[in-house]
Parts: sequence; structure tokens; C-alpha cells
Amino acid sequence: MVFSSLLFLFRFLPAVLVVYYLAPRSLRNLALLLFSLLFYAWGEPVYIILMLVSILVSYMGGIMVDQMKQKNREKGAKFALVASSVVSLSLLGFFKYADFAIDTANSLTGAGLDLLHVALPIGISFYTFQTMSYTIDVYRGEARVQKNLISFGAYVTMFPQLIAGPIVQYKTIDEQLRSRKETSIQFAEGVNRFMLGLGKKVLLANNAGQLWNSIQTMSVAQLPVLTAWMGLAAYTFQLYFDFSAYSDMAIGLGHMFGFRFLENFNYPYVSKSITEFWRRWHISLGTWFRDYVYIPLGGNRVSRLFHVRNILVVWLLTGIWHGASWNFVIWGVYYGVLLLIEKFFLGKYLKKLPSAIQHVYCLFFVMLGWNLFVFEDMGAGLAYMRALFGGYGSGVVNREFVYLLYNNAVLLLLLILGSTQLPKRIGGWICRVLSGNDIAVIVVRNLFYAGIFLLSVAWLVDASFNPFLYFRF
Amino acid sequence: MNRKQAWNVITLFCIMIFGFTVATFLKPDAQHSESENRDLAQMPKVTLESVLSGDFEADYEKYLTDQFVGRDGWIGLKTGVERAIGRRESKDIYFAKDDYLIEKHTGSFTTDTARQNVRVLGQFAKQYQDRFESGHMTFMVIPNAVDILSDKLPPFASPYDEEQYLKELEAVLPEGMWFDAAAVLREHKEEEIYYRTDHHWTTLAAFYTYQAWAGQQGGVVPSQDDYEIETVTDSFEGTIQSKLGIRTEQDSIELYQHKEDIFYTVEKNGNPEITYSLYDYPSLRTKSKYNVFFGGNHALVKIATRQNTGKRILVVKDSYAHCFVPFLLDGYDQIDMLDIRYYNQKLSELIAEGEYTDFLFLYNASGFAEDTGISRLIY
Repeated sequence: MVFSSLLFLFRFLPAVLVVYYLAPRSLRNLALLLFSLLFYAWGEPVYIILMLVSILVSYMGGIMVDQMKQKNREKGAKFALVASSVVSLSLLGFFKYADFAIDTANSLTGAGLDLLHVALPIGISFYTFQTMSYTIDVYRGEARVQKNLISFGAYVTMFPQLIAGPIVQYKTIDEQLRSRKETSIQFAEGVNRFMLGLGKKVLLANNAGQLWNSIQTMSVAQLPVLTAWMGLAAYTFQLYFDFSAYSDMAIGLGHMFGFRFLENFNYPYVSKSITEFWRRWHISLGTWFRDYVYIPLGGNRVSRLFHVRNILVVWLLTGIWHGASWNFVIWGVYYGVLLLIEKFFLGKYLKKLPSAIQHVYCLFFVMLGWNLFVFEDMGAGLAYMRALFGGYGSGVVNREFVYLLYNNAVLLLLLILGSTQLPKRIGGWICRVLSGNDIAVIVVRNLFYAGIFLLSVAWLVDASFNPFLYFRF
Repeated sequence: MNRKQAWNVITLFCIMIFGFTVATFLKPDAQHSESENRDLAQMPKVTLESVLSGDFEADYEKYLTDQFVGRDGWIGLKTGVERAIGRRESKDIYFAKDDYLIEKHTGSFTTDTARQNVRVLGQFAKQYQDRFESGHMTFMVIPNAVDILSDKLPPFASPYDEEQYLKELEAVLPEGMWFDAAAVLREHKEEEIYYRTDHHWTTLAAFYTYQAWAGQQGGVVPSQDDYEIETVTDSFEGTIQSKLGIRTEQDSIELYQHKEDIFYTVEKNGNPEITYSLYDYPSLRTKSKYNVFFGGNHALVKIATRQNTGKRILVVKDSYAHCFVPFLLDGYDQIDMLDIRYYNQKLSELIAEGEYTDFLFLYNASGFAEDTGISRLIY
């Protein structure tokens, strides 16, 4: 199930809210768990078993690690950790990467092995990373062991963040799972955050996606340069508004049930360098790789050669985490190399340039990155890149470009402004101007959010273009 | 946010979430959408198999969307906002000049089906080339409004050029079989030759086309004076408008009836019940007013006249022919109108048994290109 659907808004959400708030405090985690399983089972009815296995493995892994540590049996604890991690990673490896590995082996050796055609279970990359972070943190003594299977299950399956993140590390909500107090203010903040996310997804991301779709389906050899860039810009916006909208909705829904998840995006497109971009984009994933791969490998406290290796390993893994296909691998390595160049060479010069140039530099490489990212077929990706630089000699603009530009002018303007902190500043300014006048604040705020909500419903009823982008993750 | 503000947010949220939820349960399910002119999804059956395969889940979402309370209003709201922010199209429909809503048909002509239909049509024509006398087998594929009314499109709009496809069709047909309806319509592009809200051409457009074709055939060239022209409705809201859910200028439908008395009988689908009119007036009281012509699509309509011309014509057609065929009344003893999409017998047998002297193929361009049943022509 996805948040941006009538099913979620007018069946699932009212049901879970009623049951959750009618349930006594002691049963609320159970209510969340059951509804989350229903949420996942809708559309993935069979793979729910896989998720339950994964939960049990890390649940028992955590308990075993803890018991070994209590008895000071360091080796035993390590063994339990390794065993549960191996099982988790094997499940992920099999369901996500088996066919990719077979396909690669076939093309290298010509072995002609049959593909397994296993369908990728939705959200497996997200929940596997969550459960692994839990056992590792128990081992490190950074998280308390969770002996209550219901609470632990509720953590892993919690529907707000189940299928598209953020990747919530167990230690960040351990306390909240054990005792939390839902408040009206937090709930209301959650409502507004959720509606903002819904609008970002349905009104902005989907329309940007439709523009990208219409350009992407044109014959690439006939794309004028500006049309190609408009298409790539549309995808650049689609991905950000879609992905960050899911995080907004997740964080908002979390608030409604008394949870506080960490932020996952921080206006990535205002970055002035690739290094900064990755501090602002999909923060929970970057943090995960930092805490569980980069630092354990020695981080930057090693010789320069190993430091370079550590960075490349992290980015190779980041790439392949996004999908079992070579374009994601190359996309990851592309960022590894860019970050190395910035770190060891370009960074100090970059800072001296006018900030406008820094922005352009960063966005240029981010957009080229999305070009690698969006085409699983590398040939198609390279062809599109060729069109970006006029490699087909199809001119700079044509009639179609002008048409697309003025038809999407308002949309593009909203996307650009929405990528900056400007809307937030304007909101803050309005609140300050109206402060002290409760009625005015209430009216303005509710008109804004209800407007977004009603428009989103209109777009959903029309069943227009509404893709789910993360089925490859 | 303070507590008072928070409770206001929560109250409004609950009203919207629970209000619409309750409303969707209270609203009785509709079988059919009059305004969209289609059957709506119904509550799917729950079986273990359908739930496990995910079919139930997918069907239920379709059901919820189709049956959502105030559906037409929501769609209209969306279209209205799109227009307000300066978009000149929605759902592949242009908001064109003079209140025309014009479908883009993007992609219709570049599919495998579109390619295959060109080949099939050529093969069909060659197969029957010798069956009809020269000049008695005609193919007309009528371009859509997007092509003829291109002057009315929003600035810089550049949809697929239908003429390209029509040229391909002409090229696969033997000499003398193609009739260039596009040229006729282009001469009259300032007149009311397409509906503003519907995907069909108007009776006036059919008249001009018939006039040019009859002239080319060497018969009497008819004039508008030969017909009693009657406007039977001025509140037609067609299929294109339905997709957008907004109110726009309504269309009129005209009937052209021969002033000369012609006696004829109409038999539909081999039904023994004979009628004496080409027109189905009750349709004018429904949403689908274009069904005033023949009451909509039928597999086979047989019209017999007492004109004693010695000519019998078979028309293989889609609904564009419905306003065209009435012009044929005075020129033939027998007019058989076949819709291959609904006909489950062999066309070759019908042609073998029908003693036809003439053959007319009449489709609209996008309808022809999209039709997945065209290959049945050569069965």
C-alpha cells in the first residue's frame, strides 16, 4: 500500500487511528504491528512471511548477542551477530541480487544459466538495514536489547517508514517504543507534515514525473538540447519531491502515533558541493553506511590509500543498494570518485568561487548522476546523455520545447521554489506577522493545508499518473 | 503551535478523513457513469486466490477510485486548476481556440497495432480488388480534429502529424481506391465540421465528404438544398468533455433528411423486427446523443430501399460512418453497414453472399490506428 492513495487516506488511516487511540497504552504497539502487517500484506501478501522471518532472525540475534555479552563471552556475542547478519544479508542478496549475479555471470562466461525471476519484495532493503542496525548496536552496547517481540516487530514493520524509509535506527526510537506520550501538538504537527508530503508527492512529484515521462518517450535522437535538459530537470525534481515527500509523510505519520523520526532530507538541491549534497540527501542511508561500513573500515583515520578504499567501498555499496543493475553500480562509483576529487583536490578551490558557480557545479553533476540513475539500460542512458550535449545535432530548441515550457511554467516555478527554504521562510514570516492572533493563524494554516489535501484527493480520484519509484530499492 | 491551534488542525483533519470515509460508505455504488459513458468498477469478490495473488487488492483500489463520492466534481476541480495555472492541455486533450476540446492522439499512430493495420488494409484491398468493378471500392479514413483544426490548437503545440499515417495507407492501396477526405475537410476547416466536446465529425463534415465523393464517382452532385436540415439538440456534451469533467460550450447535432421521399426498411443484427428510421430519437434524452444515428454501434445493419438503382453497397465502418451513411439512401437498393468489431462471422462469407456492387471502408484515423480487431478484415 502507498500513502498517496484513496485506499490509504479513506480506509487504512481512519481505521488505524481509531483502533490505535481506542486501545489501552499497553496494546498500542500491538495495534501498530497488526496494522503494519496489513499495510505490507496489501499488495505483497506472500512476502510478508519473508519479513517475519527477517524480524525473528534479528530479534533472536539481539537476544543472543545480549546474553553472550552479559556472560562476557565476547566471541559468542560476535558469532551471534555475524550469524544473524549473514542470514539477513543472504535473504537480501537472494531476493534482490540473485538474478543480477546470474545475468552478470552469463554475460561474462556465456554460461547461459536460467534467471530465477524472483520478484523483489517491497522495502526489503529498508527493513534489512534496520534490523541489522539493531543487532549491531546491541553488540556495540549502543542499544538496549528489546525482549518484547511485539515492540520489536512494531519497530521493523512500522508502516510509516516500512516501504520507502527513512531508515530508522533502533537506538533512536528505543525509548519511544517503551514509553511514549502522544500529544495534541505533536499530532497536529504530524497532520500538517503529512499533508505537505502528500501534496509534494501527488501535486508536484507526479506532475514533474509526467513531464519527464513525456520527454523520455520522445525519440532521443530528435531531442533538442534544451528539451533534454528540461526532461532531466523534471526527473531531478520528481525524484526529490517524491522521495522527500515519502519521508515527510513518514515523519508526519510517526508524529500522529507519538514517534519522532530523524529528518531524511535537508534541501539537497541548494548544496554548493557534492559533499554537501550527500549530507542533505537521504540522510538516513548516508548515516547508516557511515556508522556500519565506513567507520568500522577505519574511516579517515587510516593511511590515505585505505581512506580512498573506504570511500570507494561505501559508494559502491550505496550504488548497488539502490538497485541490482549495473547503472546503479556506476552511479555509486561516480559519486565515490566525485567525492574523492572534492576531498583531495577540488574542495579548497571550489570554496573560493562565487556561490552561484558552486551551485551550478553541484547541480550539474547531480543531474548527470540522475541520468545514470534513471536508465537501467546503459545504452539508453548514454544516448540520453548524448542528447544533453547536442550529440545528435538536433538543435537547441524546437516548437515542442516552447510548448512544454509554457505549459509547465507554473509547475517548474513551484518545483524550483519548493527545493529551497523560501516556502518555509514565508510560512515563518506569516506566522510571525499573525502571532498573537490565534484565529488568523488557525484560518490561514488550515486553509493552506486543507487546500493541499483537497487538491491531492482530486488528483487521486482522477487516477492520473501516480508511480511508486522505490520498487527497485 | 499552541494547543488551541493544534486542536483546530486535528478537528479539521478528522472531519476530512472520517467525513469522506463515511460518505464513501453511504454513497450507493453506481453501475455506470453517465457523464463518463462507461461502466464503473464494482466491489471485487474476495477469494483466497485473488487475495494472495494481489488481484483483489488491485481491483478494490480501482473500485474505490471509480465509486468515490463526488467523482465528477473532483475531476472537474483538477481540470479547473490545470487550466487556471496556464496549462493548455489535460489528459492528452488540448484546450483549443473557440471552446474546442481536441484530443491529441499521441502515440496512437506509432504502435505495432497501427503499423499492422496498414498492412492488413493493403492486403484486404488487394484480396478483393477484382471482386468489385474499378472505382467501386473506396477507402476513406477521416483525419481527426487535431489534424484538420490545427489552427485552433494552442500556440506551439505539435502533435503527431496524422497526414503521414494517411499517406502510408494511401500507398498500400491499389490505384483509385483511396479517397482523400482530408483535402475536402481542410477546405471547410473554418466551418463546424467537428464537435467541440466530442470525438466525432459533424453531419456537415459528412455531407461535404459525401458531396465530393459522389462527384468523383460521376453521379449527381448533391447540394444542401436537397435536404431538410434539422437541429435535433443543442445540448450535446460529448466524450471528450466527459473525460475532463468541466462545463464547456455545448454542441448541436444536425440531421440531414432527403427532401425526396425515400421508402426504406432497417434491420439490425438479423433481428426480425424491422424499423423505418435511421434515427433513434430517444437517445437525444440520454448523455450519448450521438447515438441518435442508428442508436449506436451494431454488428450489421441492413437498409433496403426501393430506389431501383441496381446498386448494393457494403460499408465497413466505425461510428464516424453513422452520420455519413444516411446520405447514401437515395443511391442504392441495399446498404449494409458492418461493424467488424462486433461481427463474429466471416466477412469473406458476407461479401460472397451479398451480391454487392460497391464497397466503402470508412473509419476515423485514430480509431483505425488503435483498433486491435482490424486483422479480422482478412478472415
